[in-house]
Amino acid sequence: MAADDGPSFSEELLRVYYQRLFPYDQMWRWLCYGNDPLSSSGQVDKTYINRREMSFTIANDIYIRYQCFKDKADMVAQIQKMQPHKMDIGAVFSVPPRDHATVKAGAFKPVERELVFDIDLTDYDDVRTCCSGAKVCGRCWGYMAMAMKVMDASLRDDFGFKHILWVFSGRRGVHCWVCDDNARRLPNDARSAVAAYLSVVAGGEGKGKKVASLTWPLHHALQRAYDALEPMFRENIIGEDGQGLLADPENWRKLLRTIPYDGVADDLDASWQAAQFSQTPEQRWQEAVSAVMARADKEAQRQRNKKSKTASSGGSGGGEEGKGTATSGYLWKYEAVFTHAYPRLDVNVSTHMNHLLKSPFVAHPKTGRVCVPINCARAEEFDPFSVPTLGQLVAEIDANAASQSSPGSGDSGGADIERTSLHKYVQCFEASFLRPLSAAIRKAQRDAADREAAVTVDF
Amino acid sequence: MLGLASMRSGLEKDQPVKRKQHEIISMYTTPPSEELTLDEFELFALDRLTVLRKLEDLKARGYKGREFTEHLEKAVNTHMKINSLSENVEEAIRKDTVSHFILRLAYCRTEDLRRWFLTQESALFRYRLESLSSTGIISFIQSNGLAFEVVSADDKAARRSRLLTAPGATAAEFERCTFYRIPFAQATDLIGQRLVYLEGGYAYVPVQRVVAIVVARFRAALSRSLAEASGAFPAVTGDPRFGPLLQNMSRQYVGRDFGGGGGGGGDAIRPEHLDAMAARSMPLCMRGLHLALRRDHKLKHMGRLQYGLFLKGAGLSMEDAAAFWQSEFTRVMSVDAFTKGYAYNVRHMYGKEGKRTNYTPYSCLKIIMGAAPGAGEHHGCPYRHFDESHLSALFGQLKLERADRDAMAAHVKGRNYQLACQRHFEATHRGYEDAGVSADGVGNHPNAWTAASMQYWKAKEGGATAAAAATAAAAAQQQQQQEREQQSEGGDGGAPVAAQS
Repeated sequence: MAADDGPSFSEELLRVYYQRLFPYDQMWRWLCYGNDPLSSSGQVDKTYINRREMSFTIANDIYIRYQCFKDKADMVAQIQKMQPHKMDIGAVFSVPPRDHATVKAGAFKPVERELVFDIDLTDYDDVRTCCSGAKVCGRCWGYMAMAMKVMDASLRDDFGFKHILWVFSGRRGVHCWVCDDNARRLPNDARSAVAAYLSVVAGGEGKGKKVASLTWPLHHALQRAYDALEPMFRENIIGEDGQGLLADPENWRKLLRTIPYDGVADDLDASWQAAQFSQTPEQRWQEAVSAVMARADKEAQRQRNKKSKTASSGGSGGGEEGKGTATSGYLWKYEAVFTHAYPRLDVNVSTHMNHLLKSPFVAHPKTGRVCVPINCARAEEFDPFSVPTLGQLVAEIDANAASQSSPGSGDSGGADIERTSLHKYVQCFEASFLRPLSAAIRKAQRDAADREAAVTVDF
Repeated sequence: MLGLASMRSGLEKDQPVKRKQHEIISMYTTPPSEELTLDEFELFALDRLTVLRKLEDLKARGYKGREFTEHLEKAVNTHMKINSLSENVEEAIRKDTVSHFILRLAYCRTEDLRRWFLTQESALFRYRLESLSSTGIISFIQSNGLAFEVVSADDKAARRSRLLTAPGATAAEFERCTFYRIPFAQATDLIGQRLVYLEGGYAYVPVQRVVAIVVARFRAALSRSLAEASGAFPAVTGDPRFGPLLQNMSRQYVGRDFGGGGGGGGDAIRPEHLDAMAARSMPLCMRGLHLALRRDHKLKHMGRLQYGLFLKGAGLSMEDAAAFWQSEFTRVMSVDAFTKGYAYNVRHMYGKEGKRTNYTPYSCLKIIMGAAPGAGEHHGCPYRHFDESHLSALFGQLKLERADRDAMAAHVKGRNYQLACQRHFEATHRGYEDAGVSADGVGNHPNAWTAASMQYWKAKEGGATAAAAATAAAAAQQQQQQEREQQSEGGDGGAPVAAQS
């Protein structure tokens, strides 16, 4: 993972990064949400940023919680002084977190926090065939792209959120920050509800991961997820150059075992083996789906007949539950796709306001890669291995400085970044997230001012 | 002040006003302003308290659905009569309102009391709302000024197929069904289970599901009012007429929760009573912990907590508790080691250290749902955590009749651990009802088991419990003494058990 010419992460590189590249200005504008303490406007909450918890992990895994910044200069100074290997963002509290020990226990509580989600490839270990644990490859990234698409659609369409930031976690996952005003103020129980709404694959450590029992007809959000996931499932999961689920007998039997009808799996297995080298995984998937659906239709017919018979003879009609029923067959393709492609959230990160999450634009200490924003619309094009490491970035400054032989004199921080591959990520952060967010905040502040003015005039 | 007597007599003369079902359910937004006698004050409050406790009890025993409703209905009909549209409906409404506000006052004092009241009242409110028809609920929402936005016919028709994907929706009822458009943060229960259609931050809630949201509103409003009322509590309880009544009300509660001790049937418990109590007045979980402590002279962390808090709840003072634990532990360690490692624990349990929380004794639910005991641990619920062979061996030691033993084993098989424990109580306290002992809460809280048992033996043996227990204790201790002498002679110095008997 390291660049050929030197380490990707070191204290020395970190120093250069925090000195010349870290996008302080953008981070500051984001976290203030229009509440810059040095602003002269009457609309701003000047204590706001100072109540936001930041935490630093410095050398030797020393973890420092309850840090906060008074203003932008203070942020720059503290980060440059501490040289954090990792930096986490926490909640906005009722009092500055530095003072947490000086107030009554009940008086120190989180009042605001982005709604955050954490998706990590390690949660896919039971389905991904290419790697496991901390290892990742280009193929696994398909899972993240699929997860982002589903989550993003639901957060926007169902919940109406607009200011959503997706960030590469630096190694094998993604973080999602929902920054809308109402999202930041959600109480914990509402956060749990949102996370539950977005979760389909249940089961934690030690337990087998399973798609929670679905009901028929499928909830609108799940139907939409399926429609989005199914093509990606065919592209990323079943084929040989994906996870190979339907590429060879050993793997396809895993899928066939989940068919709720006796016999269907064996028939498919036999015919697929006979035609192993003339059939594509795509064809196998279509065949399996139509075989299961056909059987489900037959079951439905049988159940209808039975019902009309038992109804006439006065007996109780059998319940439509469990294995072998028509419903279980209709749901099969959904369960198959969701098992392999539906986002698997680490819900604990989402359910509590008071949960820390790694800040964007810090570097992952193990890989040296910077946690850069990801454009969700083009998530499948994102390549985690092309994300610059600290080592690369520092090399880029030097190389480009030399080649350009300094056209403009007096280069400072702002210009350094333009010479590196970090620049486009900061631009993306600025254009697709920060600008719409600032516009919304300005509008809200204007509206509040108008309301205030209206009230004053009234009296 | 509206003289309610005159109002009532007026009603009696005229034809009673017909009340619709939804009109007898209140959100309790306006406190009553009327005269009532002190007797009524107490009576009303205690009747409501009985219903709320019954409700808690039913929940704790895992009653659900129809069964839960039927049991609760019985209690409500007996004590509050607010279900029926009888002639006395005005009186019932008055009682409902008054009793709610009295208890609100009595239960606003501490965080724990508030949480308890909030939980039970919300459940009662939900039960009453659920008894309404769809039209009843729509009327209730309108008449209580709950500004839920109704989805227009056009909007509804445009979303027909999507609205029908919500579980439980049927095409047949779709046309008639009213939908509300509610911000998703108010419909957390519904969206968490994907029970409703969601669009643009709003949940589209059919009228059958809107109860959950009304209950959430009710709960939030009550929670706020309770917090506000707690500020006024000292002023109100200063009133010589009903101040003591209010104080008493919450003490009644404390007796139930055993948070403040005094759960030993009225008398304080002394360390020397414990052997006798273990023999006949402790449920199996505590008996097991006591015997293990006596045998091994130590308990692991979870066991210390479960048993220590139980003893606190039963009325063992902190000083006695410290002496008791010390006397046992120092038989396997030095006094110094105990002081360093465990004395803090004891004081902590009594809220004298650290966070200074007055920890409440564990309820059955907490014990059953809690971590299972590992090797060398004795906490937990034997019915839940023992395997079949251990449990039948244990039943064998108890000298129970065959029928009881079989019934208990059957309950365990059916995973009704609390019912098994209840049966154990019934089997060992024959005729407790005749002795005037209420077994409410037995099988629900170990301290309730012990309190009821102590009360039973006290009534049965007539004399003071302490004396009775002491006699029984003497026998038990003799046995202990012998065992101890057999075991060793060292480290017996400060054992208050032996010294004081």
